[in-house]
Amino acid sequence: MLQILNLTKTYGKYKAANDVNFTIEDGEIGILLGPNGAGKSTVIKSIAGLLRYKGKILIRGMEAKSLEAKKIFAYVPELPAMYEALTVKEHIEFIINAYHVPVSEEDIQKLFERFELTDKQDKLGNELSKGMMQKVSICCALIIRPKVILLDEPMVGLDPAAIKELKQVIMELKEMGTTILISTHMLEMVKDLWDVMFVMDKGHIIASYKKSDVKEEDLEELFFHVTDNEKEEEK
Amino acid sequence: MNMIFYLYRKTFKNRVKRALKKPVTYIYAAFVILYFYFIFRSFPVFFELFEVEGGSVLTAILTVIVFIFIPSNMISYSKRKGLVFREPDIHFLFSSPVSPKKILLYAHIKNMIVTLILNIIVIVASILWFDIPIWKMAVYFAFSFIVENILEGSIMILCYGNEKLDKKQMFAVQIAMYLLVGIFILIGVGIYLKEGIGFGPVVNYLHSPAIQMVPVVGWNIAFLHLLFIGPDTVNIICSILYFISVILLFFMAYRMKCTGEFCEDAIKFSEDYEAARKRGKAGEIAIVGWKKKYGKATVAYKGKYAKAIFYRQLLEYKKNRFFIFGFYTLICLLVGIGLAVIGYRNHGFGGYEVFVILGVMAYLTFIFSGYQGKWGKELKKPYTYLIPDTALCKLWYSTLIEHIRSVIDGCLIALPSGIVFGIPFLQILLVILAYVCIQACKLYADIMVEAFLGNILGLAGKQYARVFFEGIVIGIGAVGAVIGGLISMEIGLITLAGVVVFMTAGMMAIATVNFEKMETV
Repeated sequence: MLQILNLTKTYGKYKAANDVNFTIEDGEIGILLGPNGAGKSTVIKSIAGLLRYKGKILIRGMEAKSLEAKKIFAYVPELPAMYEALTVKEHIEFIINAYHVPVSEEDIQKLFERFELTDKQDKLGNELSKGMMQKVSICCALIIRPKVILLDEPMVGLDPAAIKELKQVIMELKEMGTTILISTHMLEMVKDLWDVMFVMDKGHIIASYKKSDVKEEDLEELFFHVTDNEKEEEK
Repeated sequence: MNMIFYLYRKTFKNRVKRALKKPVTYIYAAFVILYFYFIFRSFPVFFELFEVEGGSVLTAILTVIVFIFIPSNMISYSKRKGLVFREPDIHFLFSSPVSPKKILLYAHIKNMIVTLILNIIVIVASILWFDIPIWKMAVYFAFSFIVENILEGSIMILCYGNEKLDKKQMFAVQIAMYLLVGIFILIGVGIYLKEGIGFGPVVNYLHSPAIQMVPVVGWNIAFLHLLFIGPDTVNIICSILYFISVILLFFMAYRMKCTGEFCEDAIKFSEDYEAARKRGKAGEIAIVGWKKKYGKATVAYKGKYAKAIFYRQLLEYKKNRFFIFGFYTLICLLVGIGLAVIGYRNHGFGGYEVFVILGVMAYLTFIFSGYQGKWGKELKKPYTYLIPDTALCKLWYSTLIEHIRSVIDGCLIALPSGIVFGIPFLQILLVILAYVCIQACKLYADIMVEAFLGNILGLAGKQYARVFFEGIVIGIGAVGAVIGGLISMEIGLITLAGVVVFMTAGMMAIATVNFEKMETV
């Protein structure tokens, strides 16, 4: 379970995230949506422990900053960055060391196979394309078998086969009880995945829906319904 | 710490493997070995010449090293700056279950590598040049590398990792750090007022007991005096104080709670550092945290196709606070005034005024080699290649403003001194023309090297290659100038400009390759 309680982040006088609250249960897929500058990245970076903030972020009831929470948490950033002198395989080995997880060579090879990285495992970080980096970044997140995973625009740069595989992986994680939060602008890509949806604007959560409540309603229509209403209210 | 060592071990191994595959590594290695060989051979001659005593000189040098590194590091840490995390560190390390203190130490290890290399050089040099016993240098290594890094690491963790002190309190810590530096300056001023300026007072300053009494940094220097010069009351007491402070700071850092709130500041510094690094690579000002400010401006595009590049550059320059003028313009102005003043005081340069001005101009061209104008950026933009015009036109309009800058810089150097020396106006004009030609030669040599060696050589290698080609052209030009100068000064200057223009045009023609396709030859 991922709980965001009264999260507020300010830059000088500007409130990038203002009293943000939401919860995603175990085995649920949450989607964080919002126009550019809504505050999604601030929320995501706060959850990943990259920013100072006021409020509480709990991962399965543990403070997100604690080492115990970090052990079960994985993060795929929007822009992946690789160690330029480390190979793909060495990135995975490094993560296994850093998280101290028991992973066999077979597990690593299976993961590489799923994301078509088998023949790329000896390539150095600075020899990879953006899409390849994204695949490595996803593999690094998956190898630790997280209980909570945060994916920031995970589909950007991926080829259709990798997108299909990633969707499959996300569904498998859900089946295993993993809490998943995806931040994205690509509504089409996540329309079949989501369980709960949070729409942000100007640092606030302006709407949240459960799929079970809205049933057949289209994700895109829901999003524009909320954001258009917000614009009209402003006028 | 396993994963930190894993990261360093693999990175080092892969870098070495990759470097060994490149032939340029062996050329660089040969240069470095030769450089150190000559340094090691020339220094003993210097010591014999000045009849200096080894231990005293070594202590003075090590004191200077302490002055350079420790106070600046302490100030950086107090501002939560100085530790460089790269983008992948932020991606993989910051969200991992690695203790925040270990993450700080990981970045500190990068600084330690620099210290280790410096220590090895100092130790080898001390044994070879100063005849310092090996046991003393072993003690020095333990002190300088191990003890000092425990101290610095502790201060770094206390400053970066601290989550109790608020901004005001941290500011007070910064002030305290600056005060420490202030004490050193005050002692220096005191010695200057008492003894004046010279080699003796500098040595007295470096060995002064007052310096050794300054908390932490001075106490470090006290131990160096104790080790290399011998015990006295001040250095014994201050050395003891140093070791006590190291132990205290270590335990404070060890016990302090740190949950990783430094990440935000560390990321900000890393982003600034990365931006400065990229600017540096592009030949621009590489100050960490410096951001270019742009004003509002407009430009009327008078022309089409490649000419649009010139007007777009002009618009960008108009948005700059100082238009096309920069740091180098100021240097040219100061050099021009300096030449005029020195020449005026000395009543000219014995009839060689024109040659002196030209020599200074050539020297400036070689010295300020890192600066790259906007043309370099044009090569990185796909739009440049899509414009329906010839490569030569694109090259010309991408570099046109650089030639205008050269004219202005040439005027700033040549006019003040030329007028003061009473050089005929035609000769001044020809000197400026020669300068513009030399600058153009440098510019097109740069583009040519980028086109043909851009993928093979690093930044320094490219600069050396460019200076090599530039040297050939200017050298031939200078020979032409001397031969022409036998007839008259004007013919000599025209010959210089003519030869340089002719050969630069050749380089320009070759350099157009760069504007044909985005990839280098």
